[in-house]
Amino acid sequence: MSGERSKKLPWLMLVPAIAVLLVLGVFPLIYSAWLSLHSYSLLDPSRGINYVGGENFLNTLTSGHPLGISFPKSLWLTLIYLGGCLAGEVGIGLLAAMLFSGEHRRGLRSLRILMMTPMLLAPVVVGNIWRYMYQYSFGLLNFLLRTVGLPAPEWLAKPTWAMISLIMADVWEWIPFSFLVLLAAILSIPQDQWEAANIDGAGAWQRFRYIMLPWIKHAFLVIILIRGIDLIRVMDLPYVITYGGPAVSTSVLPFNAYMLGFRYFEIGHAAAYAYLMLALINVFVILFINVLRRRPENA
Amino acid sequence: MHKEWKNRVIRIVLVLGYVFFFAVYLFPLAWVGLTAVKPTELIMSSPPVFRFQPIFEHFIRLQTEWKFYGRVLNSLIISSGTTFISVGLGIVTAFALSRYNFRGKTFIPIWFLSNRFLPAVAVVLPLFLMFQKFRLVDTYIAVILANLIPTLPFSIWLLYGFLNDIPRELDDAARVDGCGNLMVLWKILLPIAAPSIAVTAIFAFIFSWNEFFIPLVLTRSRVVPVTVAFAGFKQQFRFDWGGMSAAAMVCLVPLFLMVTVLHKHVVRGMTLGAVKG
Amino acid sequence: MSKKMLSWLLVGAMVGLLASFVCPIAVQGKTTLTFIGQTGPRYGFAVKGVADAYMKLNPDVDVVIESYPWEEWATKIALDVAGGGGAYDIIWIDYKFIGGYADAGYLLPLDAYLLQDSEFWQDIQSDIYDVVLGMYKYKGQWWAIPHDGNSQVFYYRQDVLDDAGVKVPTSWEEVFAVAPKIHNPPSFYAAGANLKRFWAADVWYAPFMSAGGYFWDENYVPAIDTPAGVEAAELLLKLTKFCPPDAIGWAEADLYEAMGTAGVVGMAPNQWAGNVLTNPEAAKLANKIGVALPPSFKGKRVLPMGGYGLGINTKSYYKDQAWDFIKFYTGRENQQLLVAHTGQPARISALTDPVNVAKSRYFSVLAKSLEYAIPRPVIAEFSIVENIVGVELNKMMLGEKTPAEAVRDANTEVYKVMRGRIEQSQK
Repeated sequence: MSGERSKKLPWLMLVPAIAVLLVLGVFPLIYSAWLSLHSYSLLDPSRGINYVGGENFLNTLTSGHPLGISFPKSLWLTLIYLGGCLAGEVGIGLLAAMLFSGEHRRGLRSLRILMMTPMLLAPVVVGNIWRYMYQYSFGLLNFLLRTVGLPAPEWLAKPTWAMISLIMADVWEWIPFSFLVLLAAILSIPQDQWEAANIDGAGAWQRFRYIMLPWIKHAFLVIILIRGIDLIRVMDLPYVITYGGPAVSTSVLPFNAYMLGFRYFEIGHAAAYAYLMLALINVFVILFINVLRRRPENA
Repeated sequence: MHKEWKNRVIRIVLVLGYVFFFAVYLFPLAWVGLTAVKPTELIMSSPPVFRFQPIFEHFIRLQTEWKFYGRVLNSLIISSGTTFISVGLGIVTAFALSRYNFRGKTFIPIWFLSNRFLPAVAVVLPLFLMFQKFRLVDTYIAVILANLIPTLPFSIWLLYGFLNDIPRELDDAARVDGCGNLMVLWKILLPIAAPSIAVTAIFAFIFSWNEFFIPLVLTRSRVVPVTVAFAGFKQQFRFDWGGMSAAAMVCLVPLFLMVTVLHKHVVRGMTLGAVKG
Repeated sequence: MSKKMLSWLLVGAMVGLLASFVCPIAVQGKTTLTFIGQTGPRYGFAVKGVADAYMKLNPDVDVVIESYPWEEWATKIALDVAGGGGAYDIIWIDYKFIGGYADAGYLLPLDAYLLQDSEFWQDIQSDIYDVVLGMYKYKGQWWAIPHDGNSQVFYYRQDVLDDAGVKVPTSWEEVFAVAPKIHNPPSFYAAGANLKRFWAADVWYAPFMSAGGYFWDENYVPAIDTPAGVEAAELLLKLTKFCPPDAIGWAEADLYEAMGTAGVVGMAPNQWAGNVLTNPEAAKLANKIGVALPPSFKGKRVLPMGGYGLGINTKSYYKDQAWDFIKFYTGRENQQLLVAHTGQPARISALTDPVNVAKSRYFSVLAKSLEYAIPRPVIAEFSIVENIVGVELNKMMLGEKTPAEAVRDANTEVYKVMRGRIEQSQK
């Protein structure tokens, strides 16, 4: 690439997207930063917007007030949730993608679309239907389990089971995402690679490791990055299914931020909480990208 | 002979596996479908009721009590708008990021993605204040633009990755034939990246469709999309399961159609990519 | 192939963009009252029914109703406050918020209207308990007219109690005497309650206040960590032993499903009154469910007061019309209309009107409950306080703390919340 034109052209192509996101994204960022240094209650606005400096941040990091759970504890819960969900989504998604990319491609097209449906349902609906299924005494899951004589767990009543319930519901909802991204990646592997493997007489594991894996590495990156961030940032399922409970045993970070902002209406404190979450997400992303940089490109 | 039997057994096991997998996987969805046509008194019964006389009252109530179908239209308009802008800008931006070298090349993709990082609770109040200043609250354009915050970074990132995977040799081959940069994009890259574009469009549409907080604060009564309308089913005393299930089924239709339409392109595009090698 | 796809995308896009610029215009020439309230029976349905009737009588008025569940409703109002007001004309308001929003200048004082419509005001004052009405008075002025009265009642399965040969309990001691006789897990549980976070505090208030407790003293110093608080917490813990294990995650709707349709719960001693468990259209077992006054504790019965009022936004363009609507909504003549659309009135005459009681039989009990009810604190921080107490009680129910510890920790946390007010009152 050389010449004046090529130097300006890329920037010209970037400008529209940058402009949109600057206007829409940067203002909330700055406003929240400013707000996080103040105390502002939307339920008692006449108290005013009072400067409190780093007090919101200090408060969040050193005590669980008024959420009933400390930030480190909530972070730990979030990491467990994150790990469990990603493992499930990616694992099952990969399995499904491999199954559906096989030789029976054509016939499975409609089945592929069926695979997508959990992601198409509104998160509210997903949350509520699972919440119903998890009810101990009249829920669907326990009904089925009891019918076949298996023990019926107290899905939403015990801390460990509550977390498992959340992870199961989330994995169910988001398998289609990893499925689709991995499927697109697998299907873009050129046919001659597979033919070469056939000629060399490669076994299933070798096919996976040397042919499939290099091509889907990028898909993994996208999935883990996007889903990972969303799992830290979004609280649809913990909100609907457990409401952070029982007690505070599934009060993940986004749930706490939500309670601070939309139930207690202490939006200064909520902004500070959100910024701490933002810092964590940045750490996650930077770590992740560095880890990927260190791995050697295509085998 | 032995091999034929082996293959048959494997096939049967596979089919059974698929059937079992789908039965388990789609079971909650089937339950929602059942609930949508179940009479209200039977819905939360213990033990759960599987056999009953289906009714369509819930679907009718959706319109008379909730004006829900109008909300579906709103969601369609909003999601289409966001998807188009998201994918359009995404392609252009991703191409620039992927095919050019310039200062800040490593930093900018991450900056794009970072717009998605701020939790909803911190985003909605400033968004509301901003759009209120411009008197744009409760308009389609406000929600379409605001929905770009979660969808645009993702579109860019996804397309950036897929475009990167397409080898530069193809570009060079085309340039040898005399194509300018934009022609390379139009004639060579887009056809190959078509499945990725389709996938991106699917996701942009779905993410935009399922967005809750942003439309909650930016709409009042006129351009309310289905996600906010769904909140109405979450009543304090009585959860309107029938209504919610019927609404969920209704919402699946446009999304399902969209996925089916775009999916054809995903599949067709695969063959092209595979042959190219 | 890709051209076809792109052309489809283009068509879709153009349609989308064109539609996006078409902003639906409000009906010209009509007075538009924008109303914000909660959703569903008793709330949004009632408003819609009454608003439809109002619009028939006033064809030049358009009542636009925005209904949301609790958190979204509170959020929309809060956003409007943050944005300077003006989005809504009539506001369905919880008395907890009146202090904060009155001070912020968001609500319009109604005194001028009350003076002007003295007949209406006299009627309201004679037909609503002073205690209920008083919740909407703040700093000497009136900020909303109560249109929805609420307190707690006791729901029970009449048939189950009959089968066990026991009478309806009137005190907590009797509740615990009856419970073992009808407790049969996992198919049937003697009791149920909504215990999810702040809901647990809702069940804890009545015994706490009946035992003589109150949240704080005159200087806002919390008084939760007192014998009354501990006794009420122990009572709650004992109750949960008779509840389904996941009651710890129940809100009201879940309890009503469990009791009214699934039929796995026998008694719900301290429940906010509502039109579900006694309504055959909403609960399969409604005809088997009886309603009584909540049980007394240590011989006394003190219940928390709920309910809502209708206020007017200071920045509304249609204040007079809004006031007219409020008068219509809370007027004596329209209470039957309100109840017919699942509303729950605050007027005693409406709660005891035989036509209304026939529609919602729990009204007669609610009217009695209101005699025992005292308001919850009318300050903004109370949302946080009740959540703190609820969470600590939840931890107690999980076995992580003893009742005494839970109450003590709740007290410490509430102290931090009230610190500002404590310092102010000590000046």
